Amino acid sequence: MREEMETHIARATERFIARGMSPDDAALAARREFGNRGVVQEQARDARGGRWLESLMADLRYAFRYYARTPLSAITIILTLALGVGFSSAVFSVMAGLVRRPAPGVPDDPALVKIRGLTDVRPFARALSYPELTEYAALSDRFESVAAWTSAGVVVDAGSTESGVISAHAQFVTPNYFATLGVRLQAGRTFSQSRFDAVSPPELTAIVSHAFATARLGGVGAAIGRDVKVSGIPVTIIGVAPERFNGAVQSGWPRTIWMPLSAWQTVAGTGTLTFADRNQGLFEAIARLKRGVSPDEATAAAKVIAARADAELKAQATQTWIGSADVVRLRGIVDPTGRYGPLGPAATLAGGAALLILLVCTTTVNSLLLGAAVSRRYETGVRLAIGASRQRVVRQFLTEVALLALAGGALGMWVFGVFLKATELAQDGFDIAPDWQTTSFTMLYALFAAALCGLSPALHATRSGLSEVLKESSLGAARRSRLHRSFVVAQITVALPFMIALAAVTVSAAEEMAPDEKSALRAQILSVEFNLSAGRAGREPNRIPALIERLAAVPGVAAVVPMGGNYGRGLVSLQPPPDIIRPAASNPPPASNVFVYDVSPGYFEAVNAPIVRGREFLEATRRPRLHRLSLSSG
Amino acid sequence: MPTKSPSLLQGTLDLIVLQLLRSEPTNGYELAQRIQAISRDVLNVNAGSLYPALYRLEARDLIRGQWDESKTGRRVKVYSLTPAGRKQLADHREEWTRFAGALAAILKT
Repeated sequence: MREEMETHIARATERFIARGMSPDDAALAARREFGNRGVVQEQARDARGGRWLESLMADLRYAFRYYARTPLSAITIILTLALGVGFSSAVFSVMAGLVRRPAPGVPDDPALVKIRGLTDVRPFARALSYPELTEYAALSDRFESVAAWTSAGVVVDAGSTESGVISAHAQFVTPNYFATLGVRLQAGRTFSQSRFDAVSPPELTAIVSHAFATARLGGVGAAIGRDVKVSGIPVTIIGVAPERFNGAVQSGWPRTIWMPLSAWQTVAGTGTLTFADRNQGLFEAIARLKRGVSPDEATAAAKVIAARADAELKAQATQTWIGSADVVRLRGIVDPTGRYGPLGPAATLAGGAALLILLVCTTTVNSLLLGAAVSRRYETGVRLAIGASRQRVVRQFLTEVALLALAGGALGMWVFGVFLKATELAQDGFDIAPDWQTTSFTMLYALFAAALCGLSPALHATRSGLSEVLKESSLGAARRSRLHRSFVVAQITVALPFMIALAAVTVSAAEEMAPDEKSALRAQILSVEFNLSAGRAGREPNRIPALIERLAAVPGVAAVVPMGGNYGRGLVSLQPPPDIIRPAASNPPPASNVFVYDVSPGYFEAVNAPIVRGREFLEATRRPRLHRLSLSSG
Repeated sequence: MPTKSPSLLQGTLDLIVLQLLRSEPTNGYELAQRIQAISRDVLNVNAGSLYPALYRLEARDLIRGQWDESKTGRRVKVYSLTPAGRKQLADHREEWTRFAGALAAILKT
């Protein structure tokens, strides 16, 4: 454009020279005839369109020049926004990973669903029995394929000193598990058995995780064909799972090994479990929907099957709760109870915390920007005086803040990524690393934060013209804007209660951790866990008493109290004494949830917790049925 | 005498540019000189009107600008009519003829 207009002026100059003017006069006359070249160029650019891009580039250049002069201010704002936007992006990534994404290594396929066993009693989930599983698998009009698994702790011995012996979490899966998920093995092959109901004879092969093959077996290639012992049983490794694959459902437990379901009883030592027992719920299931079938349609069919199973168990009088089932997309942490929606209370709390921190950070940055705007009021006044519109100057301020917010957002996300790598959080079966969607959302969030922070100072700075600025400078006062006051009020009303609550929680936690009379006792209690489902111990329970005796004989040991591994929440129905007369139509007392610990006689004495009323367990109560309960105070 | 009514020229400049480029592709300077010459100094188009019009028509793909070398060796941007410009010109000429006829009839009363 410039060259074209210079050519025009040159031609006009030649014309004036041809008329007899001197070269200097001709050049002057030509420029006068052409007009203000800068104005003509601006008008031509406006007519051509796309001025916004040129304006944006000019604003960015101005912003870089300004922050090069005030680096400390820029760094402070970037770090503050990095905290707010970075924390928010971390929350978004984690929530996106836990709520929206499938487990690591599992394709994001809308046809993949989880068949959930539900109960009407919170917070229990209901594992599926094998007969129920086969009924789901038979729903060929709803499911293209159904796969299932059960988990067990095992001990894996790779047979060398480098690999060592490790305790691992194994999944015993139906042969179509990987095919149903659509997961291609990194190396090797899948199981020889192919039928869903192949439960015999045991196929003693295994597919190991990529991390295990790399860390313990000398690499992916070296793992194939290797013989290992799983809970003392020789097993051949035939395949390696893809990197980061950790099972169908997100969990915090790293999986090491997958074996066919037919090997379950041999390796896990499950005793008298049978596949035909409807009373034994041990399995979880996933499925691939048939084309055109929705999860709701599959749920309707699943509920019929669950109702049938429920009716059978009720008829056997073996359960007191109502069982049901549903089918949900295989994404995020598939809440086994079905009680919480996709967001759940934790996500709401985390999102609220993120917004709160962002509010605090934006208010802080708002104050910094307001200070900067006040110091630039002369510059702003001059720009307004020479013809820049208020809109143009406000846009300049917002561009500057947007630049800082994007830098802060990028820094925050980088820190989060480094944190994930350093703590290996993303390796523990959760896919919470930032992806392009969370990155884009974070950048948009950063721009929103920029608008929030920068609008008030920009409006405040452009409110006064040059003459008002000169008057204000003599008074030495800078007026605060309404928007800024609103920010401060919001910060105080929202952040203050949050800080008080945080202080209360901190004090409470400190009191919990403070040394008390019981801490000395805690220091004397040693907890030893044995994996009784692995190795020979699981198959030779008579060795346990001998082991206890050997422990008791160790010098310095005052008492050895065996505790069962199956402790946790148990459903206990408190029945009134028989001598209380109740109306015939009265309702039975409600069931109460209590913690149930499986302990042996001598437990209370060993932990120095005297029984307030009643007595300790006796040796005679070492029977399968427990008739009496000891209730803790409080 | 050059026109002193900017609105008259503004509304018709696009039509004038399209018409002149139909007969011969040329650059901005020559175009301004031709407008002045053909109108016998009635229409005097300054650069502040001409170049925005040229860039506007180019953005709408009614004319095409190509850099070329003049006889004196200077680089010049030569504008020519595109097929879309020819069609636009034909439509505008018909409209303008109808408008001019109606205006003339009114002014005769």
